[in-house]
Amino acid sequence: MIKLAFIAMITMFSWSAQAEENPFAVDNSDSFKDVAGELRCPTCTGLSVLDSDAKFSVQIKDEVKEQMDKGRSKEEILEFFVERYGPWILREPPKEGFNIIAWIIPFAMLFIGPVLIWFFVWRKKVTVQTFGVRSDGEIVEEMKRKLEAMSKG
Amino acid sequence: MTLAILLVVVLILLLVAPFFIYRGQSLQDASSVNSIQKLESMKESLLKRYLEDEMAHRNKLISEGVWQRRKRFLTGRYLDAARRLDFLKHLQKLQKEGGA
Repeated sequence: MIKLAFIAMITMFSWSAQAEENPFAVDNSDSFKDVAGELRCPTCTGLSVLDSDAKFSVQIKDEVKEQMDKGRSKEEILEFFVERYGPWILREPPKEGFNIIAWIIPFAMLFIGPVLIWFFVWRKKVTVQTFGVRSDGEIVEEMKRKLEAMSKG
Repeated sequence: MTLAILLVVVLILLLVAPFFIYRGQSLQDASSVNSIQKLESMKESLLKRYLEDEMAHRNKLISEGVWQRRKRFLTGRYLDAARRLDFLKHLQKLQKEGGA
């Protein structure tokens, strides 16, 4: 009986230790996903810290979790990371200041692009230097006219 | 061996000779003619030949196939001559404008 109780205690202890040490243990709450999804994984390409299991990302996720536990809002947490790592830590550039250009240009190009293409490409008439040489059609027409005149005359 | 080489050379010379000996004649390419008068007369003779062949076809002296081939050939030659003429006239016009 004592043996069984001892084994049960050891097993429970090892489970809890495992849960604490597991670096991939993350908060699955929507607010956590929302914040972690907006932070860029510094060592990956095009991944958020939420989608990455890299060491650095795990550290950031832990930091996010810690900040959330302290009751900080999403904006405050993001601001904290921007202050610490710079604006590049955000997956999307902030919609303010110089960064707003990055948001405006793609949408603006959707409207301005066709106008630019029309202005620089379609509007221009293609002029080919023919050095006075007429087209084949014109010459054949001339030939037909002359043949008709000759056959009549 | 030497005789064979000589024979080949003579044959080649015979084949290409008309292009050099009879300049200005029927084998001369319109693009090598630099005289406007010559090109005008070339066009005229091509039209005459066209009418002659058309008449021959009408009189059933030449077959439909032969007539179509001649028609294509004469039209092609006429196009070449007319293009060359257009170019020379344009050149003449430019020279006049430049000289004025």
